[in-house]
Amino acid sequence: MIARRPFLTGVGAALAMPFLAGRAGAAAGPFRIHMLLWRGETEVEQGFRAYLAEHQVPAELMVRDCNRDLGRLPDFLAEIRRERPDLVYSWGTGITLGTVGRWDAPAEAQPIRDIPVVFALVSAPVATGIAPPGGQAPRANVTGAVHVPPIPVQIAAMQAYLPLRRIAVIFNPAEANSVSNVAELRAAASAVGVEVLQAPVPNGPDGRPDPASIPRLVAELARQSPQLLYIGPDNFVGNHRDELTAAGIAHGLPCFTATELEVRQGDAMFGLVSRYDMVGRLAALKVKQILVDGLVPSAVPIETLDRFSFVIRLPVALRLGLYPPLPILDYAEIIR
Amino acid sequence: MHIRTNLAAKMGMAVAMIILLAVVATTLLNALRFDQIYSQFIQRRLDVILADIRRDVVVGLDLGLPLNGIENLPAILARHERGDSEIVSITVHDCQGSPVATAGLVDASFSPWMSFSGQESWQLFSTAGVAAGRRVHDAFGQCAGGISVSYDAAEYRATLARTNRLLFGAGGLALLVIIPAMLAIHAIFRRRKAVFAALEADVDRLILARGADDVPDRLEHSDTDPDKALVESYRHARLALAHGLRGAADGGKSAS
Amino acid sequence: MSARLTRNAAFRAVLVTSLALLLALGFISYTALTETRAVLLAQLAQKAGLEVDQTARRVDHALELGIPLQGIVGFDRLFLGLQETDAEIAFLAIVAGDGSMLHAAGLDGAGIAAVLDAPPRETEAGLGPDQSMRAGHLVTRQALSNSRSVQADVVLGYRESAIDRPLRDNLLDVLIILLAVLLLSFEVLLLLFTVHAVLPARTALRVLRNVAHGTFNLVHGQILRDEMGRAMARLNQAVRIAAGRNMKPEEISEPRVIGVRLLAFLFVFAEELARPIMPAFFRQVAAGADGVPTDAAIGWVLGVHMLTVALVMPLASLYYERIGRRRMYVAGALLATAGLVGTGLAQGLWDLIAWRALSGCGYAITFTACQGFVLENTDRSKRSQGIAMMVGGIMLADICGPAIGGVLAGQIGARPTFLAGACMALLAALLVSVLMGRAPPRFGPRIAAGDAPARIGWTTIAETLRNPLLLLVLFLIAAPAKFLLSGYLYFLVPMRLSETGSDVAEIGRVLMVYGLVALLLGPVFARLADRMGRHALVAGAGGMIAGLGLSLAVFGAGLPVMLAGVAMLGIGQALSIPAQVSAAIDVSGAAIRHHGQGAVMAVMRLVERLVGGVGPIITATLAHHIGLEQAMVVLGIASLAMGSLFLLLFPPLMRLYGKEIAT
Repeated sequence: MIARRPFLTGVGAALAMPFLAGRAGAAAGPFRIHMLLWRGETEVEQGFRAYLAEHQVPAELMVRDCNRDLGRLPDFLAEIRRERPDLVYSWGTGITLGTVGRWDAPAEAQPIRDIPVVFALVSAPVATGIAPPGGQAPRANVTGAVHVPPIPVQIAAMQAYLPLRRIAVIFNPAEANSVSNVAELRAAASAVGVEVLQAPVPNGPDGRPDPASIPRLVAELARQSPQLLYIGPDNFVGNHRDELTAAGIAHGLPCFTATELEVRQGDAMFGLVSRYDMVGRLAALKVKQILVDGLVPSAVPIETLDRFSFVIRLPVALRLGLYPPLPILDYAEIIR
Repeated sequence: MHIRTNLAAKMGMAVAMIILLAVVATTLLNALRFDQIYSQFIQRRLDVILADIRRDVVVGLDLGLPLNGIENLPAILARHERGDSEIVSITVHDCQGSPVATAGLVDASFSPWMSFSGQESWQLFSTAGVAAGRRVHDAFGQCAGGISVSYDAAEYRATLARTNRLLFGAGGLALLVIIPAMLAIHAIFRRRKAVFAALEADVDRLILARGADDVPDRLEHSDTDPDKALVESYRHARLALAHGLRGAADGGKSAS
Repeated sequence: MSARLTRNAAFRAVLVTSLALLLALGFISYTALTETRAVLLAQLAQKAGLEVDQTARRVDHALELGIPLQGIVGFDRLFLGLQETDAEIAFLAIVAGDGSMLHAAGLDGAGIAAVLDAPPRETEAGLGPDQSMRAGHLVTRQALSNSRSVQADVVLGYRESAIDRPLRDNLLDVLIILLAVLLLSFEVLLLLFTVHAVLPARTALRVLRNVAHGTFNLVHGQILRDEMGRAMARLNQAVRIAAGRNMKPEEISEPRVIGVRLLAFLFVFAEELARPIMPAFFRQVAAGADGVPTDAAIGWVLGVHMLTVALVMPLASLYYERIGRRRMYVAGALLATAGLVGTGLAQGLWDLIAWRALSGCGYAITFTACQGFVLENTDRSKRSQGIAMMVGGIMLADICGPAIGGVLAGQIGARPTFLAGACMALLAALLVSVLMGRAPPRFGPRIAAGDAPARIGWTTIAETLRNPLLLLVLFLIAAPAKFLLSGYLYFLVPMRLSETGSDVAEIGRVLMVYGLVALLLGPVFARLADRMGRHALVAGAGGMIAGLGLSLAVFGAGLPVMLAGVAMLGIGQALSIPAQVSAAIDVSGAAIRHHGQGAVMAVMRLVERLVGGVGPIITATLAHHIGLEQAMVVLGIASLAMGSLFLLLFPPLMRLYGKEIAT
């Protein structure tokens, strides 16, 4: 039996092509971009605007802030379907999934299919179903900037700082994002002979993950002598990062992170991160490629930065006595 | 046309040509090789400076700063330029080739990076100037600009010229060895000349004497292999030759 | 024998030339060395200063961040980073004021301390105030500015070989030139002496012996413009007078068979000049040809030359009588010139194949012409000497060609080197009348079987190949030898050497070892084999030795292993090739009786060369799938196996068939 839906999807995509290619050449006023944000404008949006300005891309940006409430999204989507802007910018996994649906979902479950959507700050587009896995054709109208470095690159960054035999990770088993991240970490680590010790956070009496268990979990992990604690894109851990890093420091364990805030504002000792404004710039670069250079979104790859920032929180390093190696000091960003 | 040469001269010419060929080839090779090695050494020196500046530029770019917004860039360039006496100027330029920051004496007419715009790293060693450069990429993997370091071309040319003068001078001096060589060749084949001159004179006398019996031989002895056998053979044939000449002379007489 | 040699004027002349060359080139090299050293040292010193400054700044930065000096991490990685840009960096260290090593990389603390404690050499020009030469190292120091508690310096040490190594390469190149010029001068002077002294003397001897018998019907036909020529002219006059008016004496002269040395040398040299760069150049030009994997393409280009030679040579022999040796040589040399020019200018795979085929035609034709020249002018007794002269010229070219070619290509590039080869081929065409001489063939125009290059027809091939013993010699020893030559020496070795970082000049030197070994050991082994008389045994042993040499690659094909492999290939082939010929002759008695020795040898050469032609093709495909090193091992083991198989099978088969076929 011929799979009709994919066929139709394909035809539909082909028909939508003229709409998806940018208005390159049609110089009728600035490009209209709807920006769907989670918590207002962040450095990501600052970078986004700065890039567009520096490269003289005439753009009218309509900001629609969900204010941490996904319930507002359907109204914004309806507005988009009415106004038909040239492009939609979406912030984060939640909003993006809400805007374009999963890649393998039926057409009805994909709200915006014929307007280019560029996302920023989605940490795992394939794991969350926004993008098809490798080997499949890319989606016709979705591309974006990923802010988390690939896990093998993260491991290489950890190894550049200290010799690595064991990584410990505490995570929330209820977050699918986090679970898949830990699984990927195990696979990549075992490929280079590094063991991963995992400690899922148990639920408390209220049926939700219990933050009070964090110090105990860290103590148990510390007994097995890992070299560091890994902080993944886990919302629960992110919200309780201070407890985690303090417990780690108490046991002489540094924390490594792949997202900015844990090391810039929290007490993680080091991390390989993408600066938010660079992520915004990367997203803007893709917007430029679609609107100005005329590429179809499927021809613009979903990618991370080429070079990441190695950030070190110096007071933690000095306190733990784990001094950054000289070669890293050449290019690392030191937070004093 | 009568050109009187002798084997010594021919061998001498051959030896002279061989020595000339070898000396010219060796001198040229040494000169070319030195140019190569010298440029390589300068190149490595410039690479050290380029790598250092590149690190500073990349750190700035990764903070999201544009090339002309990287703090202290002119000061960084100035420090490198001062730190090496043969560096003439350092330029950081954007992807279109326009200078963004410079240090040292900048020659507006000399922008070597323009001719290498597609390349990751380049070097130029020519009469126009001596320089090397690298491209710099931003965090997206795209061109962000480039760095170019210029070396004191006059110094480079002067050193090359001085070394070439020395090498070619040495080559010229080395050619002088041809003189003793040719003298030695002459000495080796000297006897031969005498031997064959004597032989020629002897045949001459035989001819003039119409083969008369009483012509003594005043032949020389040769010590060179092929000629020794020849002289011996001539001695054996001399009598018969004399007979033959006499016979012809008599026959002529009787005929007339 | 050697006493005769030293008295011989020619050898004395060679000695004089050699001494003069040694003096001249030695002087030039010495000057070059001392002058350039100073310049390079100054450059290195500057670079070291920059690197020490960078290191000090990094350490200072770390100190300023609050990292204690003793706690600095990653110092050795810093050293490794520096080492990547220059392998001659010996050590990097942080030394406290009291001399204790706080950090050390590259050498251990004691080793570095030993260098630092050594007395400095007298001040050399070009060094900075904080630099000195100690114990064969360039030492550079710089104080740390941020070290508050302890006064400490960063110290960097470069080995002196940083300067000496490039200069040593230069010296090696000069040695190559010296060696090549010495060999060439020997050839040229020997040629000159032979043509101007030995041959006219021989002619004169014949005239004089004739005169001694009282006959005056021969005069000297090679009157040169020197003292002997004048004497011989006078002699001629006397003989003519003695001959009288009625008799016109015949002019005789000796054919310049020795000229064949230089003739063979020139056309092979033209080809071999580009030998070191061939695989790399062919890969570069053939890259991008659709449908053909580049590695296999290289094999095709290399192979097409030998295949063409194999196929054209019999054809050329057919036309030899009609065209004659001079025109044939010139035609071949011009074709070779065109082929080399075309190869040098080639733009794609098919270009290369076409021009290499043309070169192969030229090679085959010139080879046939040279061979014919020798055959026409030597009788049975001198024939092998004549052929040996030709082989000698070829061997010399096998030595000088790659060696000089490597040096040349390193300076002027690949394409101009092919063009230089074309110039040599053109030179050969121009010199042919001088070197072959105008004298008619010594043994008259009669071309009996074996006096001209053999013509082979299908019956010859069939009858020759019907002999199982000859097939054994051919396919287990002779053809594999050619296969190894074209597959290993011409393809695997240059490819692997450039893979492991050798420059072109070094590749040329390695290839030269093959010819050098063959030249030096060839006559020794030939005499050995003759004395032993067991040609088949020697041939088999040769194949096994070559195979063993190649198999050494199983220990990793680095430069020393390949040098050993090439040398053992040379030894094996020097042993095996003359023995092959004798063994083949021994077993082919019947065929030789029917068709002549020349024809039988020609069949053998044809098959050999065909196999040799596919050598690079098969080797390239093999290497493409399993890698260069592994291909070497496979070839080596195959040769070992075939050699041992031959030694196993030959004696019993000889007993079985020997009487029937060999007699």
